[in-house]
Amino acid sequence: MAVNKLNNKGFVLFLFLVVIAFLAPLVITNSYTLHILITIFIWSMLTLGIRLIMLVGHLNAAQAGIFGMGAYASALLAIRLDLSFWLALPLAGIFCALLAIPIGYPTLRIKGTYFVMATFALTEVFRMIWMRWSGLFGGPRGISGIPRPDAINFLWLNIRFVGKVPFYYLGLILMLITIIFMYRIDNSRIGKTFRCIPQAELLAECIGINILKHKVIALVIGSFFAGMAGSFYAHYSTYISPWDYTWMKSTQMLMYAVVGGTSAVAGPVLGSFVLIGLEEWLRPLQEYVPIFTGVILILVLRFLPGGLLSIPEKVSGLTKKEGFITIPKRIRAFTKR
Amino acid sequence: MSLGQIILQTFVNGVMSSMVLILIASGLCLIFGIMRVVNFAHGEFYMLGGFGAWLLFGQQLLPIESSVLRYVVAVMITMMVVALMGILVERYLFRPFRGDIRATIIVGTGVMYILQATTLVGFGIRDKAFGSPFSGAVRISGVSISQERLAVVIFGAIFTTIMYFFIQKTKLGLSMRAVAQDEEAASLQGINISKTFSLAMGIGIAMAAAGGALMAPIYYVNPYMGVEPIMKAFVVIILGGMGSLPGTVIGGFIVGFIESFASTFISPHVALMIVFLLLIVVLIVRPGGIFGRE
Amino acid sequence: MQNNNKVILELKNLTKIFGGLSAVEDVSLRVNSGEIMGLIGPNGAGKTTLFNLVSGVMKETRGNVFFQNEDVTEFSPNQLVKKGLIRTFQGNVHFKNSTVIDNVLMGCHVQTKVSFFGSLFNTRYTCSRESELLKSAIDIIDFLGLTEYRNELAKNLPHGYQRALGIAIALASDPKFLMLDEPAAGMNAEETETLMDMLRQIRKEKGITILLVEHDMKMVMGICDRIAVLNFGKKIAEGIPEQIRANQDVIEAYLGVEDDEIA
Repeated sequence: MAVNKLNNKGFVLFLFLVVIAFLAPLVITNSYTLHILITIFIWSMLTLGIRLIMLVGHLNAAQAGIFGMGAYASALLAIRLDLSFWLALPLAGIFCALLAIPIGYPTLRIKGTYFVMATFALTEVFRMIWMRWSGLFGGPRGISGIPRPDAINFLWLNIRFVGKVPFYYLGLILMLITIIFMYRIDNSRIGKTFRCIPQAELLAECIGINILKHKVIALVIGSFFAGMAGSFYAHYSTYISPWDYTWMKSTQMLMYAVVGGTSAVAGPVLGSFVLIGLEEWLRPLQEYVPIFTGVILILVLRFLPGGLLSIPEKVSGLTKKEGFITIPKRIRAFTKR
Repeated sequence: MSLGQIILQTFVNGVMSSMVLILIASGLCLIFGIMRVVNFAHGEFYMLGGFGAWLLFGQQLLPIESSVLRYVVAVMITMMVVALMGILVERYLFRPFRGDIRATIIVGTGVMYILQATTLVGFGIRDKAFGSPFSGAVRISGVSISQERLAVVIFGAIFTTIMYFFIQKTKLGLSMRAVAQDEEAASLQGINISKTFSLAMGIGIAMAAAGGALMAPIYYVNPYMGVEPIMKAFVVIILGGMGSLPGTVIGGFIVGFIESFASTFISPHVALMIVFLLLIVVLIVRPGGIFGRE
Repeated sequence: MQNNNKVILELKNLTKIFGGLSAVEDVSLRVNSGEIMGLIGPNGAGKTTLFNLVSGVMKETRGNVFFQNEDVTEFSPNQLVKKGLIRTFQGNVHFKNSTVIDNVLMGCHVQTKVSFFGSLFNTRYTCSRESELLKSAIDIIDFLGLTEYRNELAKNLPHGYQRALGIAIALASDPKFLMLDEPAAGMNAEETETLMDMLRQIRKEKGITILLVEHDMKMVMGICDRIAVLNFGKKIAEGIPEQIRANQDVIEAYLGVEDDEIA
């Protein structure tokens, strides 16, 4: 049943890129470049979560807040309860997934525009909680001294988390897990159900699909990976503060996802790669960067609604037939609210 | 200060905050009511209003003797220039995405980034302050109200009233209301939709710019000064009902007073948090707001 | 309320008021199991509102809905689907950017007991369930003559087949009771004939009761066992086609409408 499988060419390309990614540190010795790549891995996880909720038709501006919750949760588990990072990582993910349930049920039943505002507000509410509750969250100064992951002593492996390289591989693996998971969802019954909801929500409801439940599931999954990304970030940079998780960060995630394209899993990863890469390349012109990002965003929306992913299609003039991925490409597929 | 005086002072601050919020939020409300666009970049026009006032008044660019008159002229010119910018943004950036509210939100954030960064590049991040055009204060039962704050309230009230009369009593205002009610019917009646949109955007942005220009002498001017007001303005229009101007006014007072009193008696941070929590609760319980139209 | 196995749907005093206006007023109705019932009335008579009330899309102001002798008044649409009450929508409503087969598979959703993790990791159980569903979907597609368009995107379907897709999706949800909202709208005489045959077959082969809203009088008179007539939100007549055709109130309600629309 090959209704929604990426064709072989895509798979080979993916494997090729994975191999290159694994071999990269042998060639790249610049610590700063590795840091950028690690940042890209983290943002890929975040934007993939955003994409999932976009598939059900919502713009989730709370992702930065959940990212932060994951970071704080993991930091506190490690510092206060002396838990190993390897335990804190999945726990942070689970915590954020569970958090998404009381967040999702009341908010996902309201209309799209209102949901965006509610989630923006939520991110800021989280941030204020971290700022005020100094006892637990360290207030405006945040939490520092977050321990690095414990060394892995397994069979012949002896990896200590010193320097960038071990984090690079850890980040890469986490990102790959996210990508594979998201890809499996895309091709599963649940993924197809997700994509049908924004196309005809009333019809979906009248054939027995519990819309709210599905939207919450999408939010829960997106939050799980955001939480893990948060945990990874916390133990990588060893210092977190409320300033890292503003609603502006949420809009950044939305932008990367949109620019990359939401029709396939590769989109947000591509978007993160290109835009973060662009930001770095323009580092000397740092203040101008948001201008570029804003302009690119508007140009993409206007002329390339499917994001960067839709470039091959436009270039070769393919029309959208029985594609190898039958997912609504254009943002306009979202129901009008 | 006695408790009574503190309360009075807080009340006065509340009136001022409310007025600014009403200015910003009525612009948002107008833009949404007539064009169904959620203008996420609205706060940046407020910010540009502040910079306009700083440039024209603070930088002594106008050759007018009387400082008060100079200030007033600066505000008016700023309002017009920023309104023009808003009209261009609407025409070329929002209009192509009409009907797709999701896309307009994203475009709005893009515009927000561009305006913030451009201002940052142009003027630097440091706060700018300038001498106020007004000096002195008014004393009421032992509470001192600075003249500039009074000016905010007075001018704010004037602008809001003018806008209200324009919309309710003029023919152009009538056409705006018609479009807000039913766009298709309005165009069938011969109303020029394109011009109506530009007009609505112009007025809405002018109001935001006025807010920024009026607040400029009181607080500092910097590229990010629009970020917090816009969030509060969203709370106001949601509380009041997204298409309803009277609702916006009431919502403005509610939020303004909550913020003022919570700021004084608890802390500014918590005040903001309360405002956001209020937003979330309202969205969940009664998204239509007080005078809900949606 | 009679405990009657033959009555599959009963509406009692169903009322819906919109800001002072009664869209549907005090409508009571019974649909018998296995019959094809028509619901007609001039434009604005409240037919689609009635559909929305019964299918759980809108909340009634007053009144009750009983489905198979169970009070389902408060049920949400997806709860009703599980009970076997399925409706279609006016026009062509489907998942436009998905293929025909995906659309129909979506309809099968109510039958899926596929677990989340199962679908994720392609367990053997999931795969066998999916292939069962695929088979049902293909059967329905063949039954409705959509076979050659199986892999076509819904939005690219030729006009006549779009309606069939809507019915296919509805059939895929395993209905006991099918509510069709203007299925013949925009169809020519030949297409309408085909539709009528299709509906007769659905009733015969699958034992599904059908309630249909229609404006096409030839179809209504030709296929319905009984007909109910709405005007200004109230039920003004109910009976077999011959009775309705001769009914004074009905004729008056349609006065001003072309003669050859009735009979």
